Amino acid sequence: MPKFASKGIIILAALALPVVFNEAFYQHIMITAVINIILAVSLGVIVGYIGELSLAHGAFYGIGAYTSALLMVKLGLPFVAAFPLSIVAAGIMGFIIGIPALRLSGHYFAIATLGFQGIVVLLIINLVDLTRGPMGLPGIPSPGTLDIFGLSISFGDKLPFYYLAFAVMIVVLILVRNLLRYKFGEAFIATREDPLLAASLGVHPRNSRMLAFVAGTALAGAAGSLYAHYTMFISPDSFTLGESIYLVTMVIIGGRGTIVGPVIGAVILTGLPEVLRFTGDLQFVIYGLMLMLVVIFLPKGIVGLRGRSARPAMPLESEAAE
Amino acid sequence: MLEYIPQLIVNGIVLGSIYVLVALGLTLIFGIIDVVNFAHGEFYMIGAFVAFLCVDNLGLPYPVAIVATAVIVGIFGFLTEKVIIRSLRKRDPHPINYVLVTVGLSTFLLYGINFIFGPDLRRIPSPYMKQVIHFANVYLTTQRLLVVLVAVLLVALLAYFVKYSSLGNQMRATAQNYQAARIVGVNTDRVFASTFLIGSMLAGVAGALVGAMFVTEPAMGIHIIVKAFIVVIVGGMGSITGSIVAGLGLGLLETLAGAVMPAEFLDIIGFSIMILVLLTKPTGIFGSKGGARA
Repeated sequence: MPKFASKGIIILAALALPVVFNEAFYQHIMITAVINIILAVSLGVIVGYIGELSLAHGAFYGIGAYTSALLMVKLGLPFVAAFPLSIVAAGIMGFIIGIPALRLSGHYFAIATLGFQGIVVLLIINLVDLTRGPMGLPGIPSPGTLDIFGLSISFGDKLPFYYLAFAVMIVVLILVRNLLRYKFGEAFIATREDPLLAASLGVHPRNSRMLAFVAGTALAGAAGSLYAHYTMFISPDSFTLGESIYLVTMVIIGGRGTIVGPVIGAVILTGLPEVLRFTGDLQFVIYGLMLMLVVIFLPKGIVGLRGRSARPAMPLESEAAE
Repeated sequence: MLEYIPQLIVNGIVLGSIYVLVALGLTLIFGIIDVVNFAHGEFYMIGAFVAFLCVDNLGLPYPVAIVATAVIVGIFGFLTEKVIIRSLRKRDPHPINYVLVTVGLSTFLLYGINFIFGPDLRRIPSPYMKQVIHFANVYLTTQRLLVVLVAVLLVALLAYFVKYSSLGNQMRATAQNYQAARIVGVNTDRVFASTFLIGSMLAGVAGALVGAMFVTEPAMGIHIIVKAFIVVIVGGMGSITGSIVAGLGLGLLETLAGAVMPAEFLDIIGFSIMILVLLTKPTGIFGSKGGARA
């Protein structure tokens, strides 16, 4: 019960934050943080629960952003249609890429996803007729306005957009928690810890790996859609290998194998550049250093500092055996 | 069109030699230490910067700068293994952790050099860029010839070293069976550090050569590491022969196909070939080491 209360306090504080610090600059950082949390948590499903390092998460983020933007710009679909379709598109791409990639593991998986990341960015750059290539896609509409009780809320404004993104984030967190807590979660962990034992217990490693991968990539699509309709301009630069590495850094620094870890990592790595603003590009030097130090000395990330097991230990026998 | 083919083949061999030099180090480190060094491209980039500083700031002659680069980047690789890779090996040697730590090192070096020197394009002043050799209808700067000659020399030296020297024997023993090598008295820590030294040295020399031929800039490592991965995966992780064949093959393919199609599509083709090989034969064409799990 106190755990529930503390969660409630954190959520209330997060909701009050953009009202208390109501400067556009702070609200912008908060919106970026929320989008990064969605990305980090979705990547966390892949890194933490399948135990594979995807270097293509930035590409799925981009697929979501471009799908959503193009559906609204070219076909004139409303946001309520473009948003779910961007999730579906990223998930389908995740499935297609997952078929070959998930047959690999360890560094081979990382290298294969690095290849996919490269292909997706090259396609975005070269399909000029569709994406306008390196020039980027301007004029993306905001999610529009919502009229309730005679009140007109425009999501083109920062405060309403923050609450929209926050609502999506809460749904993502609940989805991921449920996905991991129930049957599939045990299957992921069983597969990660001992694939052979898991298989002997009736878990299909390939299916559970695929489910986690598709879920992770689809949710990155949701983040992409939010980003596109928030900034109203997207270009391939935002979805490169550098972005993918940045997202991996969030997950690792926060703590892999948990949901809280990527959330903390995303908040730190979104807030830190503002603190380190005076240092310019030095912030990436610091990320690189942090990544190295955390992997070597703090494998469970910041979450692991609390002293208890960062990876949820779940009994293999219970539900996974079904 | 047809009369350009000899020129294209020569250009392809030059490009391929660069790929071979970079991929050799990557494959050697993987074959012996089982580490895929994602920062290998940054060692190449640092090689170019070290050579640039040697020529531009210290006024050393270019050939001397290449030798100095080999030594400095070699020591740098040696220390990387001793400090970073070794502490990870003693703690949690999961393949993903090596990927993460080397990705971190790569980011650190890329932005560190970018912070110190800025993103400007430089070129190492080389006297060989001005001399042009001409035979039949093929034109070639001495610099390009130097790239091929250095590659041939280093490949031959490496092959001889691995096959006949005592340390080379220990390397092969460690690659075959780490535990058994330890039992018969091989100092595996020393083998690992030496392997990193040699692999980084090869990348550094390649950087010093390319930095004079094209440009020296902080992002040059990213471009080459992707090619090196393609070469190493296709040739087979850990296979020296595979890297030579696949490196020259990729260089020739890129220049020959590059004459008829845009470079971006070539990159897509390169990635696709890599992924296809990963799927059908993850050990690569010449690989035999059981590192791949499908």
